[in-house]
Amino acid sequence: MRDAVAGLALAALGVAYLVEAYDMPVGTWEEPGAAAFPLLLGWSLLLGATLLAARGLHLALRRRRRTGTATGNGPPVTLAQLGGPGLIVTVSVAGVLLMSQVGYMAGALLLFGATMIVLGARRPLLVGTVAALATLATDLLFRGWLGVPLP
Amino acid sequence: MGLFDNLLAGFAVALTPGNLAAALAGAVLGTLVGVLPGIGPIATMSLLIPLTFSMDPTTAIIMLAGIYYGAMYGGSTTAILVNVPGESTSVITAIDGYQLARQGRAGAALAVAAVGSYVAGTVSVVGLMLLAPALARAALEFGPPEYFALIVFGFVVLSRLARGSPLKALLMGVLGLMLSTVGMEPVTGYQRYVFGALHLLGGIDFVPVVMGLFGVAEILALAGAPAGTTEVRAPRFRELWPNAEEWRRSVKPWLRGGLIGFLIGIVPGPAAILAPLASYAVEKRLARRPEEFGRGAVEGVAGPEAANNAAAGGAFVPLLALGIPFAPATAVLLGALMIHGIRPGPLLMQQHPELFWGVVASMYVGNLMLLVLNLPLVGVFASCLRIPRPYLLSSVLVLTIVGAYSVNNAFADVWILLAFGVLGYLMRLVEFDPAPLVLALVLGPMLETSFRQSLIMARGDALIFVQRPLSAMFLVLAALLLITQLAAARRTLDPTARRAL
Repeated sequence: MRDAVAGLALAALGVAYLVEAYDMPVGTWEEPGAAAFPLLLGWSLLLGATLLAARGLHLALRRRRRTGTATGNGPPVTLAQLGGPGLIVTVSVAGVLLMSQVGYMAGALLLFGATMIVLGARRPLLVGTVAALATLATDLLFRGWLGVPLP
Repeated sequence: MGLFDNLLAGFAVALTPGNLAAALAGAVLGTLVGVLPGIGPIATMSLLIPLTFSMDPTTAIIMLAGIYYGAMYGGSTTAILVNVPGESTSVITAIDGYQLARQGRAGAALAVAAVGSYVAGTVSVVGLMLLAPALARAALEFGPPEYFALIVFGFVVLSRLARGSPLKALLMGVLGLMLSTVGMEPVTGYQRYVFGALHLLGGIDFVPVVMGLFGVAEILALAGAPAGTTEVRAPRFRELWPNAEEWRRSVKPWLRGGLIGFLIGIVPGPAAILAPLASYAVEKRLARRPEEFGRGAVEGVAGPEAANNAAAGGAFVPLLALGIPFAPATAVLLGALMIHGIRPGPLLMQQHPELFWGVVASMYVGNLMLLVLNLPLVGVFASCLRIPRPYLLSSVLVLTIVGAYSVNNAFADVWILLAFGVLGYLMRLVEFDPAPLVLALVLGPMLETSFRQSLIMARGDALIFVQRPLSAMFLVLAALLLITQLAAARRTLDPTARRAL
């Protein structure tokens, strides 16, 4: 069933992409316009995604008929597979927002420390020390030595 | 003067203390920018051009060239260790390199990559020395229809190589091409899919996309996996080097990759990206155990690594022999040469033999330096995997954020990085390989430009793609590959599923 869902999502993307493409100048065969290539791509994605969705649905139904339980195309996605990554994304968004508002040091310190904890580090003193040292080291390396501008 | 007299004179130039120091500085800086994701060789070379104003032109080009091929060495390190390709050329290396690292063979993979880069660098220098003028003229036979056909062929090859279903790989390729249409279109400058965001006018940058799809997605995957199921095993001391079997299996891929990379490198276009892809295809085709590819085949590291370095050397052929840069990095080198009052081209060898042969000889010396520098560092790099996972991965996350920000000094690139990180993770859950998307994003503008230029050239006659011999050859090869792929898929599926295809 995962392939069917992925196929449908890609097909929807293809439709949205095509809607925008039809607003652009198509041109002629002699002189193709800005829409020519996007139209070719949009229809290719729509066709391929529909094929993928149909195949995924067909295989899932066939497996269900055989076993009565399985949904096909591998095991279903579980909440546990989304919880940890969701936390990392939340921490990253918070860290980047802090960087953009306060500056690199504050954002990086939060990113280092919070990511370590989410990924399983359990000793607060060590986490704090490593996060502070890593923040200083990256600032020194990029801003101080390589001359890369930081937020 | 004969060829060897010229080469000897070149070594006399390259081995002066000043030029040796320039080659060493370039090689070290290049390795560093290759290892650090986001800061590419092009940006580094551009930033350092002002430093070369006071240098002799030969010394300046030796240092800038060292940064270029040094980055090719360094780019593979993060691809192998943490699945973050430092450069677009290392995307293919990440496929099997990272799998080897997960099996505790990170040291072996890094050593195979380093020696392969040296072998290929040498192959390309010899090729540059012997064949530069003739090959450069042949490369000019490539027009828009040939580019179009070559890139189409590259996509079909890629759909065979990607992990999982070829249909999914082709869909990811199309998605990458769609992303490449964001921004001002290449022929008339019309704004597409920008939605008022000024940052998108220049298109979606490759760096945040690749770091998101590979690096951030890898961190998210590790965070979402049950403990103990996705550990990357740190190598033991005796495992730091390839074993006899791995050395034996690497020799032919190095040589083949070197040759393939050089020949593709002299062809105008994104050679450094296509060359590893072609080498990977060849190695998979020739392998005794092709099923190992994607799961940690040493040939999957040896061939592509050799190919991307040889392609970097090959790209010097059209630059030095014709004065035409076909890659962004060689365009920066051309700019540096012109700043120093030198116009590369057919007369360069006569007017500035010390520069031409000095650069050729310095590339050989530089490759040797890189090998000497990198082999002892294999243990140091591989030991990074001993750092506990939370500490290592948090550093990778912050480095990717800094790398994405440094592309344009804009937070928009950081948001793109995070968005593609989430997309990359979701793609893993539904078993889509991100490599075709990344390569399509890079090749998309060239594919579109060559497609439209071909039709304009032929006044709308699409038969132009099959009327020109080289273009027809690539398209026929692509069609044959697709047909054999479909036939193989039908053989492996049962009758019900076959009907569903």
